Amino acid sequence: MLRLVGRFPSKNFQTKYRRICELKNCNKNVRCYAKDICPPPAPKKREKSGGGSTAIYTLGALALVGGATIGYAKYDPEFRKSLVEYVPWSDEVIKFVFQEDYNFLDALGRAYDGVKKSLSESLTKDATTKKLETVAKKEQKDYKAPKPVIPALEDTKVPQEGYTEIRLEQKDEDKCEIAGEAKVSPEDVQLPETHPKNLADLEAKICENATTAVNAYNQAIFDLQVYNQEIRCMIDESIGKITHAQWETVKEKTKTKNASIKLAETQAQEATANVTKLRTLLEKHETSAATTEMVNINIAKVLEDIETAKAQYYGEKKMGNITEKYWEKVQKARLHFCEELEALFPSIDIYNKKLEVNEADLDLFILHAYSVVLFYQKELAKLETIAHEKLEDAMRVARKGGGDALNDAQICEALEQEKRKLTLCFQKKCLQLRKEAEHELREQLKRQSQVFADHLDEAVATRAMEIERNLARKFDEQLEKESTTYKMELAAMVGRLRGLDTALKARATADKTAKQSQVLWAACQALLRAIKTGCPGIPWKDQLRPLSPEITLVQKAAAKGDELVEAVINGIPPEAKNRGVFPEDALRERFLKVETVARRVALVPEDGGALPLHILSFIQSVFLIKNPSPIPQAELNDEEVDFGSLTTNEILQRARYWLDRGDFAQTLKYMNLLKGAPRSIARQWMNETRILLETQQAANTLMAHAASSGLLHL
Amino acid sequence: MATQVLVEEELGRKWDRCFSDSLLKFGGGLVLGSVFSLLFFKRRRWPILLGGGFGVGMAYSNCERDLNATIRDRSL
Repeated sequence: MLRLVGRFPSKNFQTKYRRICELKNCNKNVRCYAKDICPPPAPKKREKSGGGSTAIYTLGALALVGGATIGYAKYDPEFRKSLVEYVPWSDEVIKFVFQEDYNFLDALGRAYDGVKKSLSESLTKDATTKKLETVAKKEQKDYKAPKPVIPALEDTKVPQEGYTEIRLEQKDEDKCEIAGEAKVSPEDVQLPETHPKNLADLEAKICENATTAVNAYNQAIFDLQVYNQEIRCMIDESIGKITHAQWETVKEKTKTKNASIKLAETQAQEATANVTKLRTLLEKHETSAATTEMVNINIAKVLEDIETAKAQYYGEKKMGNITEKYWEKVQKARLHFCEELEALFPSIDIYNKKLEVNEADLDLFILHAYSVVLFYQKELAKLETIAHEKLEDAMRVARKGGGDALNDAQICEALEQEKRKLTLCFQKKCLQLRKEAEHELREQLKRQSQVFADHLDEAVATRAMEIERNLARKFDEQLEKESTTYKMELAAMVGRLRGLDTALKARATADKTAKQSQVLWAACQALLRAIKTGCPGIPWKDQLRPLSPEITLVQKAAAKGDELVEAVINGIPPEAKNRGVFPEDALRERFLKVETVARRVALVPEDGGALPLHILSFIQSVFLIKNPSPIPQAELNDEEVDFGSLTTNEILQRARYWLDRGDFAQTLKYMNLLKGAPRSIARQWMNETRILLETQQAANTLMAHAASSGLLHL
Repeated sequence: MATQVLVEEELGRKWDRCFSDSLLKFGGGLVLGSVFSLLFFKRRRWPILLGGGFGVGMAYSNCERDLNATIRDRSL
């Protein structure tokens, strides 16, 4: 402790020590430095190690105390409570030290796991899958219910396929019997208790629809086949055998066929709609991949079945087309009417299976066929009745006697036959005429419409031209108006632009002149500064500095033909330009010497004097005392003073006064009053001062000129 | 420029030269006087003093001339 304090000994100790030192060493002429100004001695190495050991001791003491505290706290709960109150986190420390809350190994293990987990997470970036897994797990629990639905679905599939087997038909030549019944298997829908009940319902509905649809299709197919068979039967047999009852059955069969077809189609539509609905619901709902896959598979199967049933139906339909089965008969019928057909439809190909005709001509053909049929029927009826009558007559007459009547009857027969032929011919000709007439009519109509269209075109064209002309005129007018307004605007803008241009140019010139005056001002400022201040620290003799650079600068900065500047610059004394000017500070410094020397030779006249006079003058100067008031107030007030009666000392006093106040002009004026040897002494100084004053005046003039020319542009 | 001759300093310089000059002359005079006294004047005192006097006188004269020249000079 003492050593630490020993660096700054007390004052008493210091002085005592010094005195002792002095007493001891004053005889020996040994220098004794006072302790307080000398730097303290360097610390010895022993102090460092001492500090180290101290630190160790303190640390040891702290550890001991801390351990003791903690141990006692563990032992005594009261003490522990109070310790926890006063020292924060001591409880945690005690717990940690004594492993109260957890085992060290456990903690380590957990920390290690945590680190490993974080590392693996950062590497795989798979944090999201964990979420999905948890979510999926939940949902998997949810979807246990529909799973039974799906096998139920699959169960129903089997009887569906059985439909194709069940659809049996016993084709009999004589009787077309219907065999086989469409069986609808009941759908067993297990309604789950959990949330996706809607989906299960939907699935069940789909199954239902699918089954009904397929069944309906099968039914339709069956009906169609039955119907075709009936038709075939009817056509195969001759027309006469067909009874009204058979027609009725056929009508009924057609009705049932149509109904079943309709039902099948509606069912199919419903099924597909439900399927799509289920699909969208599945997409919205988050299900596990397995479930969705299963459902999708089932849906696909259902759709497939429906499609196959539909295809089968269409196939049957096609097959049932009469033209297919009875192509030969149709062809024969066509050939019968081939003449008429070719007349009406010249481009037709009879042997083509599909008859490509337009409906109007077809109507005509049908009309003709119908009239032919009617005619045949009538003729037949007529013939029959006439023949019957004739025969009766003939037989009556023959019974009465004479065979002429029979001949007559025969002649009549023949006549009738001829007549029949002629009427047939006539009918054919009629048809031809009718066709021609219609053709002609159509042509005329076409021509008329063409004419009308042409006329319309013409009218429209003329009107369009008129309108265009009108529009063009209006457009031109508008254009003209717009262009004039635009031109006016443009003219205004151009005028403004020109004004702007001139203004800018004027501004530019003004700026230029202002800039020039600024430059001139700067140059003058530089000149002034060069005159005023010398470099500090340099002896006044070296402070001479030629002013030619500043003067040339001023000359350059001045405008061409600036007479004032030229005159002023010419007025600057040449010594200032070439040799330089002593600044004021230098002159002040010099004046001090000049003053003392002038005082020393005050008594000596200007031509010099005897040496004793010099010495006397010197002695006089020694005895002179500086006057506290060098100038009387009267003189300062500018009252009349006889300056010729002033002595050297007085003059020097006054000069010094004014120099101290910085008025070199006044100083010079006073110095000029010197006479005799002091004047010779002061002559050089006066010359220098004069040069300085002249230069200053010139510089001030230039400055004023620059300032005034600058003011013009403000 | 430092090479310029400054009047006030010139005077001081002159005075210094004066003193040194007078000392030298005095010394020289003394020496010469003593020489003369030794050689021609049977070791009498008065030649030494005379010599010294001559020396001082010369120095004085020179000094005066120089100083007055400095004061009188208009060209400086």
